[in-house]
Amino acid sequence: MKLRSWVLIFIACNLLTFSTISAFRLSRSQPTERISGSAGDVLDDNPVGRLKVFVYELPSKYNKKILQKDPRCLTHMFAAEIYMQRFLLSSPVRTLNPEEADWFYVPVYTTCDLTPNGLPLPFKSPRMMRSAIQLIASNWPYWNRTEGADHFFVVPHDFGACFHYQEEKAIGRGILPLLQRATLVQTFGQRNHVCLKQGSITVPPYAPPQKMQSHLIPGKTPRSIFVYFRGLFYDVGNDPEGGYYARGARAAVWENFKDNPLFDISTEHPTTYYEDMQRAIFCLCPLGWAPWSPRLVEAVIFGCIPVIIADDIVLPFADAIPWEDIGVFVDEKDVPYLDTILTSIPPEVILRKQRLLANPSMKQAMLFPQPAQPGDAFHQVLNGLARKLPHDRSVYLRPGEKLLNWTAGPVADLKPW
Amino acid sequence: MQKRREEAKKMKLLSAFRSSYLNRRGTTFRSLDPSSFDGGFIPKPSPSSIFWLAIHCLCCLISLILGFRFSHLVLFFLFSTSVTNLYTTTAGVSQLLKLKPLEKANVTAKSSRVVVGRHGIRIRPWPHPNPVEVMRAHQLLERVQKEQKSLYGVRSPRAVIAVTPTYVRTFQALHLTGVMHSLMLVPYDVVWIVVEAGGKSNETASFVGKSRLKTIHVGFDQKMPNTWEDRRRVESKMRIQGLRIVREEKLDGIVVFADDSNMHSMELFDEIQNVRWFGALSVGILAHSGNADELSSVLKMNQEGKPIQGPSCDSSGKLVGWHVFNTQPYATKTAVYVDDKAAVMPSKMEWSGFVLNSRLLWKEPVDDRPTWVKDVDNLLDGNEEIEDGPLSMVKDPSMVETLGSCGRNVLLWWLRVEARADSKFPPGWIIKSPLEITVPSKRTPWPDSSSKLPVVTKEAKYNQPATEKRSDSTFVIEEKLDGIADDSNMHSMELFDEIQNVKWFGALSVLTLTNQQGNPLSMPIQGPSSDSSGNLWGGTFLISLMPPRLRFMQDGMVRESVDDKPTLMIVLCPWSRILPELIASWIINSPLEITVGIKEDTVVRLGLYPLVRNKNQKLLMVSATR
Repeated sequence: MKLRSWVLIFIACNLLTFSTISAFRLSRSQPTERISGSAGDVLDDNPVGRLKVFVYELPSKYNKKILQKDPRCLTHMFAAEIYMQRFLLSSPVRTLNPEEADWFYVPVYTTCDLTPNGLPLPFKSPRMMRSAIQLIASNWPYWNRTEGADHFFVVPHDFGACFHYQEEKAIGRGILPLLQRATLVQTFGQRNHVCLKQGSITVPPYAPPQKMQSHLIPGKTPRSIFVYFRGLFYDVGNDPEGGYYARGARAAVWENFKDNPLFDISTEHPTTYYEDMQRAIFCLCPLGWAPWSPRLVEAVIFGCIPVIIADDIVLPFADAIPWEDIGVFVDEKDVPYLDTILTSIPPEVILRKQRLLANPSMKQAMLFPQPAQPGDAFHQVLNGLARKLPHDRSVYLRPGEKLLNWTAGPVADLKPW
Repeated sequence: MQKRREEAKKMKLLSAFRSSYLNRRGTTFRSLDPSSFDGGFIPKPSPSSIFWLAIHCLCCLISLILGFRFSHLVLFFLFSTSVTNLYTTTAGVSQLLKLKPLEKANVTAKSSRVVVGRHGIRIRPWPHPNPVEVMRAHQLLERVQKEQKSLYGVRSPRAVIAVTPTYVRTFQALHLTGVMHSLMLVPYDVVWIVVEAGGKSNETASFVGKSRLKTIHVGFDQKMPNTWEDRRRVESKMRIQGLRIVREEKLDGIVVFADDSNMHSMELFDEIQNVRWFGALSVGILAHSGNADELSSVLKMNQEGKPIQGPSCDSSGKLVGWHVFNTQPYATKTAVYVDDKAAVMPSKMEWSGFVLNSRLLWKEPVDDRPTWVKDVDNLLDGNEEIEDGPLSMVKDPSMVETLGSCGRNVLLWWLRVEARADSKFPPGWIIKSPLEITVPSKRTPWPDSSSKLPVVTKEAKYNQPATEKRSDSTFVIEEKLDGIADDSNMHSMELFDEIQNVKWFGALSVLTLTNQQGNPLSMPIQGPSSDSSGNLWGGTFLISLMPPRLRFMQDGMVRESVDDKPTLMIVLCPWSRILPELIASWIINSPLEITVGIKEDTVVRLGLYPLVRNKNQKLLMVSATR
């Protein structure tokens, strides 16, 4: 009896311990994106000839009609999904013969649903995506062949294919079940996050190239601002109590450095915003609701060293761009010591970062220009897709084999679009 | 703000709470679990079972803790690859982390997943920047800028030789100060050759002496004539005189013709370093008749032609011609006399738009001297008249080097504003006798609408330097309220020394330079006036500018001083009205507490108080402190 109770207790204890471990493992079993510091040589790869992409022809209600309804979609920071389609249609990697295609692209503009203020709210996106997939799965044989493993989607929203702008809700939703096997091209990137699945390609957010080009000032303009930042510190509307928005990091920047003369920080967006970035040494790129921000692109374009404050962020094309060499990474908890951290960087290191930033292929990889240019972000996406080839044999399903659960997910998502 | 700070404090507490999250979880396991097993498994405890139970609990606890630690270890090994990768920082940052033991204390904690939800706002207890770090930041900025300069800047800078013709007149102070300040800011060696018509004068010498530049001040024995046409001719001769000096002294560098009616951008001096022999630049021509309506109509007529004079290139960047300022719209209204009330037109080609290598002027033959430049000996020896401006110095004008992306960047401007030739001005701008009083100091009420005041067309103002504050006759007080610097002001450097003497609120004389002096006999000066003992007793009408925000601390009003001394009297208008209508302000000596900031659109007319002076009390200036 006594022995039994002892054994029982022991087992109970062990069970408890291991369950904690397994819980941890579950949460940590998300893939980790490797950042290797190879210089810009990969950026200059030419994807043409290394892959062939078939672009599905979808009814215009999935793309063109949506854009007609709201042309603002062409200019906001999620516009990559639109430009990607335009690019692929005229790209030499496009093939009209689906049989020889390595990748299949489904042109749906899931993010092009803006509020009057211009904020995208992806509430309809899951249904729309589901509808598009149902369509291609019934009209073409290729989806069912792999259940999407050789398909890619552009999902540039805050939390990618989780389709919600609030992180907690996004995590609760998880990646849309139908996209479990597909390759996602998204701006969101955070290590060990539910909304970033293995094999996703992280891209920079869209920033208008012509507009930025027109604001370039001569390189000899002395950089006289030490730290520059323009943007919100508190999102009172969505986060009245504070501490949720940017995990408190932006608020910490403000509270610690609002009176510091080295920090040119404010909520006002001046007309000289782009020029000011070219007059600054460091540009803060703290997380907002999502870890990424268009400031990263702007900083690279304008040669301002990005100070990335977003723990575990996965940066765009991290396999091709040596972000550690370009930017400065500051942990969110170290924000109060930002001045110490930045002033402790040796001048040679700063100059080296500036030299790397001056590399045109680095800047090119951050942009989605119209028309596309060699080495731009479109080409980097294609390079990323080409590097995943050839597909593993295991992605092709045996006849009759079904892996995807078409009825998974919230009930509201299952309604027809 | 206060509220936010409080909020932030709360956040800080919260953050501390958060940071102990893991620990708390650990303790929960320790404290809760054994006790719950306690009740569940052994309902009736006997002494031996209690003993066993104690041991069980102990074992349980140990295994729990071990398990917990072990799980950490397992995770650490499992994800060690990612851990090392994720947190590779640059050499600089990692060095820093070594500096701060706090930072490297817990590497494993860093690898923990970022928690969703509310986070604290971390605020450091001592918010002020560390002076050492501030200094380092400035060193970094300096280093970066130095690097930029070495990348984009001039490799082997040559000296700048500026040739300036000038003569003593009312507006000399304005014009010459402007050119002098520009030259003082040039980051290269500067030799300033000042050629003065009518011989060297003390006025000019004292200006030139203040520049701390290497100057060569020479006289030119010919008076400046009164017509623009003649003046131009004489000025050309004076420039040639300057070039002769370059030849005699064998100065090496780039010759610029810095007229005192020019305003130069600093890029100009970088740009001219690119010149090899003879270069041309665009000059922005600001033709000004002094009459706004007339000017605007002229500008309308002249819309097709840009007010620019300079080289013009084809698309390949080759010089094909010259863009000359279209004077046709002005044909009937061009000034002939220096004090005419019409637009002053530039000559065919302004000298200031050309720069040349001083070696062209040397007597000794210079290697690879271009053949397309005429031999200037004839010109300099006076055997030849120069008729077509500097372009007559070259044989082939198409060979002239173009600067400023072929004149597309305008790097200097031309604005000629002069007072009547017979307008009076105090020599050296030191007022020897008290100014006539247009507004007595004791007068009440003060004219309360600015329209009643004599409205002076403000073309330019000159802040008059003071000699000595308490000198018997000159009484120059500072007008400076938290750094009001109008962009139509020209300041002498002494001004900034002088205003250091201000205690609270001061006034000083302002020269208003209008190019149509209505009354040539009165001095164009506004400022306070004082009696021989230095007491303020009245003054020429003083006009000073106030920023639109003026908040008077403590109950938001001007506080009358306690000891019955008079207070401040200001007539304020909103900012938009300041430019057309000047604002009158008066000064007094009581130590007022004044700060800046009033609601933008509030029109404040403050009380008009008589100005009385305490006999014993020296004038205490009143100025604003932030």
